[in-house]
Amino acid sequence: MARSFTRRDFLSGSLGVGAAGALHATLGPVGPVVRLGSGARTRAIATGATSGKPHKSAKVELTLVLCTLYGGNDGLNTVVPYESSAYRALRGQIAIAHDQALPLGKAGDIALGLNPVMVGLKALWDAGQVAIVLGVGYPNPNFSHFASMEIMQSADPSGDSTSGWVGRWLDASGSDPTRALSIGPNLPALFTGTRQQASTLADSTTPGSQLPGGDPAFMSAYSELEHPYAHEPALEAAVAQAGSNLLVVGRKAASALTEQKPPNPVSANSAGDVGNQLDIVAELIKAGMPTKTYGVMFSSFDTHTDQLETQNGLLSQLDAGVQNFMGDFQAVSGGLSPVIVIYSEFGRRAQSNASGGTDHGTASNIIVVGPSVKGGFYGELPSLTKLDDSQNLVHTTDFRRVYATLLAEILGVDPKSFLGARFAPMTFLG
Amino acid sequence: MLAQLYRRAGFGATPAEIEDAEKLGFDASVDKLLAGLTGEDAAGSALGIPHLTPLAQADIPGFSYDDYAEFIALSTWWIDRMVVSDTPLREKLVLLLHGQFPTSYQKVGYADLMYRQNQLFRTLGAGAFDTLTQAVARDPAMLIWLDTGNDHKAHANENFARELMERFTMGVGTYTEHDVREAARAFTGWTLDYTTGDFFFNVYDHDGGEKRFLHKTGRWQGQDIIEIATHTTASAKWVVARFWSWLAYPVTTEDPVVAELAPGYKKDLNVKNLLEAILRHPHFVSARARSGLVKQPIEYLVGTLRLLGLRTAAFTEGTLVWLLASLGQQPFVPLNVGGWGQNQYWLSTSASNNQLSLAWNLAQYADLTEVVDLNGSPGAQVDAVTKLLAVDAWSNRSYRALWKTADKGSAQELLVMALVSPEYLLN
Repeated sequence: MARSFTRRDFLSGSLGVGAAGALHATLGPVGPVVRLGSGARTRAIATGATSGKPHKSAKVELTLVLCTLYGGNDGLNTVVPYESSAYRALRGQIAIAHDQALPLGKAGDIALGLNPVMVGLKALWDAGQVAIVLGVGYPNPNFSHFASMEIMQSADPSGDSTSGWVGRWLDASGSDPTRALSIGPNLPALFTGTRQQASTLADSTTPGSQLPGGDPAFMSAYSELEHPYAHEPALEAAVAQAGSNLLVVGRKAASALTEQKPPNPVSANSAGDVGNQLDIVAELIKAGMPTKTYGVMFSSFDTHTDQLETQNGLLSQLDAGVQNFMGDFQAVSGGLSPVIVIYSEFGRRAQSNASGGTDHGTASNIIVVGPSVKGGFYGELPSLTKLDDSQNLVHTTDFRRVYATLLAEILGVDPKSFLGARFAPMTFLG
Repeated sequence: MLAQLYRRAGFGATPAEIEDAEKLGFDASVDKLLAGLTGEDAAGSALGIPHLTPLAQADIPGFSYDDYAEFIALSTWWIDRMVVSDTPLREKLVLLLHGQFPTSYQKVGYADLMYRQNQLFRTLGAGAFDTLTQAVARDPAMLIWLDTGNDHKAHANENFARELMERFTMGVGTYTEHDVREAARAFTGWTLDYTTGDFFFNVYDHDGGEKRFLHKTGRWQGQDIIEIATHTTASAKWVVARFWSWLAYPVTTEDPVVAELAPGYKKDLNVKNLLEAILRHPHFVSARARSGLVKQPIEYLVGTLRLLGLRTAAFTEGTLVWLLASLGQQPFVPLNVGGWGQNQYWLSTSASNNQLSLAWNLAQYADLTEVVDLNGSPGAQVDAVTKLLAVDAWSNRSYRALWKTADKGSAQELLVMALVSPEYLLN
């Protein structure tokens, strides 16, 4: 139904104020290792026994890629307790068959397997590059998509906070608009601080667009126009700030991408929308953008009906997108090591409903993927027999422990200042 | 003040229209806009409605047609209707109600059903909110969108029941999870008959038992739930806050202006009366309101087409729809049931980039003869574009940038520069 866009469309149709032509001509993958931004944190990773791990002396640049699944992805049919009779009883017709799940091994004494469509993640798991944090949630679960996503993105279970946890990091780390980039037109609350916000990059082209690239007089006037002045009304100033950030982001992306040589043919990611977005991120990381945090988003996980067909279709796109993306970074000898973190606003009700779907639920898993990730299960699967008063899973791992780990290990800051309290970090990156 | 009234209670007015409104004065202009809520829209009705295949025919096995093409034609028709309408407040209300009951073609999948919902907003929108909500709940597009048709007695599906309270009528935090489950039971048996394309109540799949909903106990059916929910104090605050936020500036349900207007609205739940109370409120023309809203992309596009005297037919089919999609506000395709945000939600680097694209597209087709005739005098050219776009005043910063563009660049470039200025982006 939706027209799919290629990365080439994206890069030729957007970003390119002043440089659309140049971007279009020189877009290409990989190339030599690119210099990394100055704000970047580098660290040495110890030699790992697992295959594909970097050599001890290698300097590795970690980049955070947050992948938000909107709608509430069903964790139980993503990471499946396929041998559990309680699971089978709760899920009935939409239970993943025992011989279909892709076995991952046991967490405690419970055998877990991936949804059968997630063959790419299974391969990455086998290579030791997938961490699955089980039973992630927060106290007093909220069942509204919007309220729960606000909690997940603000890292504040009270729901009072108006800034995102990455937004607060932006507030505290300067003003460069390329520090965090979100793909798609609408900026999630995750990336909004009180003073700073992430930049966004279009994920699609605009037909017939005629960007004024190459006309210095126009661009110079535009740059003057989009310059907030003292005591300008707040919203007007915000419009101007967005325009002025666009110029910075466009310039940096253009220069990063044009430094690459030689341009090789690019195989477009065929994994649909989320694959396209990950393509764009891969391109920018490889080009050496100084960006530390990227955001991609994927919708339609609200499977109240016909869940098997819908969720499997979505997970299959996600899986192909992640596998394709990671294919570019298998050897971290180049120093570039992205960490994809996949989360949703909540999991779904333990028991399925009568329309082959599941209603809004609570705890779920967070999946962390990347060459620098220490693969395995973290935390424990919530009990499927001891549910809470609303017949939902009881969370076993506070979601802020995951964020604390990302803040410390990837962004290199003290998590407490961004999460309001100290949460024990986890070991999936360390 | 009149220019602002027309931007908020419609899609903006041309300098000629503002001149007429000035003769009438503010109060009479409000009267005129309100009368349009139920009056004849000659220009809008004269637009040919694109061919839309009805559901009953679309689902006949073996019948084949291109629904997506119908959907693009329908989207273009709606944009055009907003542009030409003689009753701009009613067309604005249709857009706002699309935001109040966000329903996406991406799941519904039938252009004809999106049209039927759109017409429902146009015919019932200005009346009582409870009546409107009852109709929306039975609307085929909504029945598909929130799975009401899949809410079975055996184990109720909560999708519609939850969003009915959270998004449509009451707001989050004003009901319990128990209320959601009880309401879902009440809506069991509500379904869509695909052979006729109409709502159908399947009594055999309805849970007829007793339910306790918002402290009231009874053998409630779906219509009782809507009746109870829309008449709560929470609902009055929620609906008032939503409309005030769209027309004046964003507020929460706890804002004093909401406390002031909610009791009046609660008496009859009449949307026309609520709109009148908002438009005539002193704060509607306050300084806070004047710089209180960023144009939503649809408002931006429609308003600019009106000012430039352009129609959708000037553009290659689908172009405008895709430009709106790139700005994050495609008609009939809200991101999710939460609808669209406001202000900062529309501002980002990619939005700035796509505003440039949109502005270039529009400038290509604009008649700039008058501006070009002034060649040689940058100040006069800026004045001409200022008048064309009905901008009240420029900051020194913006004026300088516009003057330089007029001096060095083409009339088209000058128009683009004005169209992406912070002043013009505000509503």
